[in-house]
Amino acid sequence: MINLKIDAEKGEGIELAEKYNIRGFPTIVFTNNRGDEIDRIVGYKDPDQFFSELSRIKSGRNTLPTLLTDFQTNPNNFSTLFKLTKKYEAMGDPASATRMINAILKAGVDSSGTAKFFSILYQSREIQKPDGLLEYANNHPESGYLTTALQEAMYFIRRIGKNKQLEADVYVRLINSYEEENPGMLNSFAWRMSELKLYLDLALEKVTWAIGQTSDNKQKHMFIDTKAEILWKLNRIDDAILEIEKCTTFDPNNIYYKEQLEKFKGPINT
Amino acid sequence: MKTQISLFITIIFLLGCESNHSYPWVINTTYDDLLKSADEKLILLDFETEW
Repeated sequence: MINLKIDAEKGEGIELAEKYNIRGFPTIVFTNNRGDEIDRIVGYKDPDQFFSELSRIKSGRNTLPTLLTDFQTNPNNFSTLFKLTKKYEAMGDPASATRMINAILKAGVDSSGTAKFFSILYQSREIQKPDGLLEYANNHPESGYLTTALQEAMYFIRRIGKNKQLEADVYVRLINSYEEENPGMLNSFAWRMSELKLYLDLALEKVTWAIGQTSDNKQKHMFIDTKAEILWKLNRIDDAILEIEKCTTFDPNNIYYKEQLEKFKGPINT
Repeated sequence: MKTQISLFITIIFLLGCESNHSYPWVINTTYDDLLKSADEKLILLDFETEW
């Protein structure tokens, strides 16, 4: 195996990053000597995960060429078609991913409804609108793809930026769809609600829970800042000041926390 | 006996080296040149940024 580090922001790295649709870092792309992509590893992996993937790719298991060979042999196999779908999606080739999904639907082998969901997802991404995903979420509340549908829908709604109430409603549905509550995720929800000035009581409840779940002091005080912001938006100024002072005490050199304190002590929030 | 022990140690040494593959990074080459010299080897491209 030959290994080459590429700075995606310099020299030929810029062109190569575009050629291989590199959208995040780290990304490792495996190619043959013609520059054809064999597979890729996206994002951080711990050593065991990384070496497991490396071993798989070196052995040719479930790599793009192998799956294409399988496809030639059995063009209606759901597993092969869906694996190819995910490969093309990871490669930033939505047209090919959609082709594979359509092949599944045409072959009538989508017994689990997976291809139906991904067809809606890819179409939504193409037109940059949430409607199909929201309809899916409404019609399939028990689906294993509910969280993904709501997450992607919320991204489009926020990007369009014309319906804050809808964004908030979908965000509430999203956090309720998770099997386990996650402190970081709930802090993000609470902060966004403070920005939208919607569901503030719920946001306060969720961030208070998140604070209680966090043992990391730096993170805990970030969550306390969120709580302070929500209290300020609820016009509970004295409570907001009490909370933010916990942050300024924890990190006296933090300029942002000082600015928050000054803001809360300033003119009444309208 | 000494010969057998030496042979045993040598085999263990060689097997030990064989099991620890190292994958050095190629430097001072363009991607096109690397493709030309790659033969049938798999190429690993590690995309990074400074930030």
